[in-house]
Amino acid sequence: MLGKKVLIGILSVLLVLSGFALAFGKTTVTFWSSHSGDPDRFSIQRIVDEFNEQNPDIEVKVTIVPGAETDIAKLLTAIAGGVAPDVYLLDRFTTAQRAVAGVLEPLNDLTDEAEIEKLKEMYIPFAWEEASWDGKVWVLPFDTDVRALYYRIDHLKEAGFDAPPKTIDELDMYAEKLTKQISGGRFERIGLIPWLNQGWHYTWGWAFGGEFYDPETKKLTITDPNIVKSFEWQKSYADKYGMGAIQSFSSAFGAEAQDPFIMGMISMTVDGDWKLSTLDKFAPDMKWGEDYGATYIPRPAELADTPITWAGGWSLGIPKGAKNPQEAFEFIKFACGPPGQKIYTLDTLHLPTVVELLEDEEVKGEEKHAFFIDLVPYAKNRPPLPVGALLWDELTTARDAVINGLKTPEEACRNVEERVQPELDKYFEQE
Amino acid sequence: MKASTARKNTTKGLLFALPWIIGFLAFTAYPIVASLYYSFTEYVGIGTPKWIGSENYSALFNDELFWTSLYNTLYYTCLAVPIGFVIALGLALLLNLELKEIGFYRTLIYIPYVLPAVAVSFIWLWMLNPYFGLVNLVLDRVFGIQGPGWFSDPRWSKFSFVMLAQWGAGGSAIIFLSALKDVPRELIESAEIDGAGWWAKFRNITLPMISPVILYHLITALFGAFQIFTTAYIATNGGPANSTLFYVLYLYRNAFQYGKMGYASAMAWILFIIVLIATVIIFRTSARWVFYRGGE
Repeated sequence: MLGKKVLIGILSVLLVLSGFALAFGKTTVTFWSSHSGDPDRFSIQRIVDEFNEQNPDIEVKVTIVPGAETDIAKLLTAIAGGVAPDVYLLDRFTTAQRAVAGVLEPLNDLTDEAEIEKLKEMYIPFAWEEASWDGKVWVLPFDTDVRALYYRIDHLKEAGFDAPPKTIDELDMYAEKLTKQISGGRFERIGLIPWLNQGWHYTWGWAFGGEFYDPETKKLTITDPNIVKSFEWQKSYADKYGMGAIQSFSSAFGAEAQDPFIMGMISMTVDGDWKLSTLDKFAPDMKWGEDYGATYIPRPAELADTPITWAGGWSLGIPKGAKNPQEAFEFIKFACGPPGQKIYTLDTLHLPTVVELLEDEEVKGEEKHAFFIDLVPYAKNRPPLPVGALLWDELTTARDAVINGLKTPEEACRNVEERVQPELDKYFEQE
Repeated sequence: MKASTARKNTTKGLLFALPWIIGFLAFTAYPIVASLYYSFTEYVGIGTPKWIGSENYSALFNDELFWTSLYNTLYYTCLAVPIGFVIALGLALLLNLELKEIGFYRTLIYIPYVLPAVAVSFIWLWMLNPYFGLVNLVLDRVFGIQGPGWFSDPRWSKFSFVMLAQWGAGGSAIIFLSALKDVPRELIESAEIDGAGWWAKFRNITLPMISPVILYHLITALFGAFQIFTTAYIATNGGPANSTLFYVLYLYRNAFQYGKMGYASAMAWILFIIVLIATVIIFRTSARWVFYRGGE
């Protein structure tokens, strides 16, 4: 009898003590990231560890969650259920859309105007633009990335080329010569598949000199003749080799060590700066300048003197209903500031959005990385609109319809405008 | 029984059922009613919905992708359900044979049905790979036919999912098997004595005897086929060129990717009405071909 009472007494004391411990202990900041691959995941963990070490009263915990550029189903349900994380890794171009939906806390509420101004000065203008909507800033820019044309020097030499292509006509000629077909309509190698990797609708649309959105009239301009031309050009590859044959060939493409560029299944491809670290890791015998190289994305001859690319990238935001927004803000300032971005760009070979780091010799690193960093001033960015995700998907639908011969380029582009403009108008009406 | 005992029994019964009742009200009935309300609003998924009346429904009828996804789903259903029925029944007839090792075969046929849909999707992505996959390998070596791109060919992508669905035929086969076991032996034997062949026995005795189970299978298979989602999300994510954008996949996109929860709710209710009509039609016509023993 007495034994039981003593036991209960001890347990209650322990309970009360642990309660005190919770109250005075560390603040846990939950951070949801969807970067599950190497080296991004480990780099983010390093940033978190570094921050935790420097801030002993805050503990940031990373959880890898499913999600993608446009898919935030898990985050939405968490917010609705009142269990939102404190920090979320968000694709930066969807910020406006998520801000309008009420998914994010505006950072202006967490600090004063002076600090916001200071933060603004720190970043590349287009990155800050993407992070803002309706006069407020909703996320802090994390990394950015640009795209270029990678090419296999060995393949080009074999076909008799000393230098990479510069214009679209040259690109077409190279692609034809580099493609090797075997019997039965199958391929051993394809010179170029325009829509592979980062050869997106945006990529070629801008390369051909088109503009997707007019901020003056607030209208989408997908039917811009240059954009239509870029779709026609992509279709020409589908017509030439047969869409079925190309699809069959590309379904055998893998990732990492089985990347088709590494395996020699394609000779040229438009891809992002991160491919450098993929090549470093999974094809260490391939050397920049000897086995592969990267050059500006080819453009129609009259435009070929100005390099073109576009920049994407991620950002860190604080979801609505986060339990510890102030601590979360401290972490975001660290991770998206010079210390965090330096760690990340050195590990992953992505690009920083902090202006001072663009000139940092250590970040610029080797020649191959410096090439991409120097492209940043030429980079376009996707219009920061509250229909960002929808617009992207619609453009992809249009591109697929065109290359599969289901719609003409004009029709497909017009459909994008017809479907997305009304959604966009709704938001502007509400202002 | 005294009135108070009867009342006590009712109370006890209700108490036993209470957990289920609460669960049903909270997790099934409430969300269903809520989604009906949301279908008349503009709603991002969080925050306050904005009432817009029947605008979602009229927008849906003008939405090209709505009709595409409906067509894709109907195409798939019209193929998957009959094919699935024939295969499941065929397997059940085979599994009904009097073999010593029949238990092993039954387990073998049933196991694929138990695997999670995500894992099955990946397995089939490889099986149907045009260059390395088993299916094209067999077609090439055994029949000398060059198999198509399956998932990456818009003409074959829906059919690829029909094939994938047959992976789960074992589940229905076991149910048909138990129905087959229930067919009275005396009827079969007396038919054999009268000289009936296999087909005559099958058509006139077996089929009518298992017809209630066929009805059950038809309806549940219809439900399942209309709601195809997981395999499409994993294997093709609606591509190529929206040829595998099934209805529920498009619904999911609207709800979680485009922030159009109200629109998606309207889609859900339209699906409900479609499936309801289909079920009613099947039930009404079932009187003609379903035979219930012991009279109706």
